[in-house]
Amino acid sequence: MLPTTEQALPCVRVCQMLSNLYKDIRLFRFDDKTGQVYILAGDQGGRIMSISKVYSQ
Amino acid sequence: MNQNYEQMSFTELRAYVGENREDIEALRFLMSKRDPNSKGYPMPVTEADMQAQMEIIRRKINGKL
Repeated sequence: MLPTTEQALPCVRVCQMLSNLYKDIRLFRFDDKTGQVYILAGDQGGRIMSISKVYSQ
Repeated sequence: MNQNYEQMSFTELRAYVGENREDIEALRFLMSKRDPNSKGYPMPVTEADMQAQMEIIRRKINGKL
């Protein structure tokens, strides 16, 4: 399974939002079995905001 | 590597996932621990959507949401 173009724009927007808020993106992963995109972002060490933006195909 | 994810705390699991990026099973397990009742937000389409969602994220970061 490959990422779709429909997934691309949301990924860019979410990453842009995180960047605007000075949040490090710690992990970006496309799950090629489920077609989901996972984004983990947040501060090192301290309180971490975990974001799982799921875009099914 | 096949860790026993169930025995890890959420913090330990999150750290493990950060260090073992190829372990997709661990990442799936971590994501399965999210609150199923947590509110989901649609894809921001317009600039106004993005600003609104950034405000939501900002409030979450500050512990106000």
